[in-house]
Amino acid sequence: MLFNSFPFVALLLATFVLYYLPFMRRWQLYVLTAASFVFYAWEQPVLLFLLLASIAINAVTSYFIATDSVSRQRFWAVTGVALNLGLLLFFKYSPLFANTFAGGAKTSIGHFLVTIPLPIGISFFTFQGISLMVEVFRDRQAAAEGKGHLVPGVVPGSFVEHLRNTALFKSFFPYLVAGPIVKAHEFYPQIEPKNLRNVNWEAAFRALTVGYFLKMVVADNLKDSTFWLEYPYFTLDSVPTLIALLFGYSIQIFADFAGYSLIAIGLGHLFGFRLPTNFNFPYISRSFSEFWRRWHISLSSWLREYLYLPLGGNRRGKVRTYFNLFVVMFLGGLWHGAAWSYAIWGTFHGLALAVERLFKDRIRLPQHWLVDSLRVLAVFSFVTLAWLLFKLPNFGDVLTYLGSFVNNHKPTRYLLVAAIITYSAPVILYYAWHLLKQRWALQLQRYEFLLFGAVMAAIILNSGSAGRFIYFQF
Amino acid sequence: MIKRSVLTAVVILIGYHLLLPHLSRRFYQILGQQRGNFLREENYVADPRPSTNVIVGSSMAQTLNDNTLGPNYTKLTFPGNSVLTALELIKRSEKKPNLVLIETNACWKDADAELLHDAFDPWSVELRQLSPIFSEEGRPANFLGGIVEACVRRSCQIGLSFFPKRHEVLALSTPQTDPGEPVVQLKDVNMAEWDRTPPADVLNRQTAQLATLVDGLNRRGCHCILFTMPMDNTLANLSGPRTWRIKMHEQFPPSQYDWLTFDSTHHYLTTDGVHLIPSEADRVTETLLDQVRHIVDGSDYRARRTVAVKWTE
Repeated sequence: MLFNSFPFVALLLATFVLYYLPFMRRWQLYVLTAASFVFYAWEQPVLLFLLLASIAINAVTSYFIATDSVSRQRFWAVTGVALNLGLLLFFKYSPLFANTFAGGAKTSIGHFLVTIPLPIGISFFTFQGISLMVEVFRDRQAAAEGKGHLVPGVVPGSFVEHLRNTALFKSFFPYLVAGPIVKAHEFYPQIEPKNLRNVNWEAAFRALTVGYFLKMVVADNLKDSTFWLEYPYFTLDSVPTLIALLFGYSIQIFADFAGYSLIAIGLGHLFGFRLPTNFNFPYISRSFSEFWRRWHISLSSWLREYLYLPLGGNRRGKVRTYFNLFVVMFLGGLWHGAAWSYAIWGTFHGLALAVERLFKDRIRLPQHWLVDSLRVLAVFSFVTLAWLLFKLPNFGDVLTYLGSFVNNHKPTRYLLVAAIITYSAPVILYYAWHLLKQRWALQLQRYEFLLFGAVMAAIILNSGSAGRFIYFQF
Repeated sequence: MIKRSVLTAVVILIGYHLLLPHLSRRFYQILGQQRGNFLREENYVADPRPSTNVIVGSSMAQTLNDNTLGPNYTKLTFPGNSVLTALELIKRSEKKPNLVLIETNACWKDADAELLHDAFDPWSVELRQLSPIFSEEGRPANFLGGIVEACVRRSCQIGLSFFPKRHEVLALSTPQTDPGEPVVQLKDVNMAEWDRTPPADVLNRQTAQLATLVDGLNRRGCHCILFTMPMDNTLANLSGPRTWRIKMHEQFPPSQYDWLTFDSTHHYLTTDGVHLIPSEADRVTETLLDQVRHIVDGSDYRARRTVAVKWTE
């Protein structure tokens, strides 16, 4: 179900009204969970069974981690993580495994594996499940060592209550299919009766308006132009058009995903939940490490907390640090999609992070706006080039695209370039506004309503044809 | 904050409504193929003329020359889309064109639900009637994009003028009118794509949908004429197009339906194996009009039509 579709608006309104009816207060969590199930099952009802299975696995194993004897806690934690990863590997990576090792669809087992459907949002809710296992386990370990509770309130006394809370944690519709990836300690403490009076309307309005604008006006319109970045269409284009297409795709993927995250955050506010920020103007990063602190923050912090740090982080020497960066980014790349191009994309970023770390200690760049601007430009160009692997999962097509810079002597498609510039301009203004606000926050805040008014008018007048969110496929 | 923002949005909408009729159309441009589809769809539904001749189809029939066709023909051709979309539009708009020329090449896709929703959703229709700012034609991006396009064009030309062989480069930077040879990569991809026999259930389902729409229009009193747009001969003889052609002729036998035919021995020049180059499209447009004239004026027209109507009953 798309956030910008009529069925979603109807579901949202019905859920909102039921949720805040005074006599439904006791049933708020059930209303929200039921709405989330409807949301998830809308297009492929059969996949609801998978979500239910995942909820059951996580509720049971995390409950046992919390209540079983200390000696068996590790067993339950490993079982829980393994079952989560097993589901992910089976549903998401079977086709990749089949194509790489089992001869693709030609063999009977290969055919079976490649035809397994990819359940929407599985990467997101699986990572949330792992977060629950690890946090409960760490909490119990700390308690056993007499350090107190790290995440109080994640596992309540009753199993039924825990099952109910876990069902909502895993399925809450604003973030269910494309994040942000919410960690257990960020969500469970917020599970309590909500009141309409406590809704942060302004935060919800801001997030929803900007989110819908980025998605409907920027991303949905740009997608009609960046369609031409697919093979073989780009072989018809001149160098300026090729550059514009890649730039447009970079803006589109930001607007699409940041837009989705903002809508999710806004919806969270409507139901009294604060979801973590997922994007913090990533295209003004001066380094790759800064980029990963600004882009898909919930995934970066998940990888850092549950993978990079357990691997040793940067505490085990330089070589090990580079290795850890590579491993984390490689797996982070594979998390995005079951194709080797995503792994290459991750490795590409891992390499950039390692090289950056290598030179960071040796070269001190002067603090000057010009140097900063060049750094921003360099990081943006590199990141944008890497998005090519998202748009063209076939690595041969990527090479053809790069070769087209040399081989193509075709006419420039001015209108296509103009369309990309026109629909990218709002994102550039969005960033400019953010930078200006850092300096003149108070003065600009007074006029923000004008901007929001214009944004609302643009949504009404100039939305593109509705397209699926790019990150749904992950 | 929320109230003031909403108020600002209302003021902007009213201001734009008042400004729109006075905006210069010098740089007006439709940004993108799908937006062009929306525009054609809205214009057709809003067209007050009771009955003109309509050509329905995909990007292949889109290449037919508008000037040669003249004002009596409306091209309801949607690139990247199915012929079913256009037929659904005619059906649901309750219009009664005299002639409906139906391109049968691209039938494997279903009708575009979003285009149809935009055309007939009561809210969208009401809003468009309320103000042109809510129509495809009134989108602010059409005005802005046109200005940006002019700036990009000018900047590119200035930039290219610094090249040593600037005249050659400038010549390349103007739109091609007649590329002459198909783009090899595109043709290869199209060949791979079209060299697949469509599954029987898809063939049956899609042709049945087409038949329902064609028969519905016939019953309404429209005269439906079917045709297959010519394409590169190698592609035309691949398994995909051949299977579709055979199925179409089975579903719409030439003894009961009017078909336009194009010389299958002629070597058609295309840009990508599928779409005719402009000069070739001109010739096909002329042939098409000649044949339509012959069918409509011909002695066997009325008899054929009676048979067709009987058959549909």
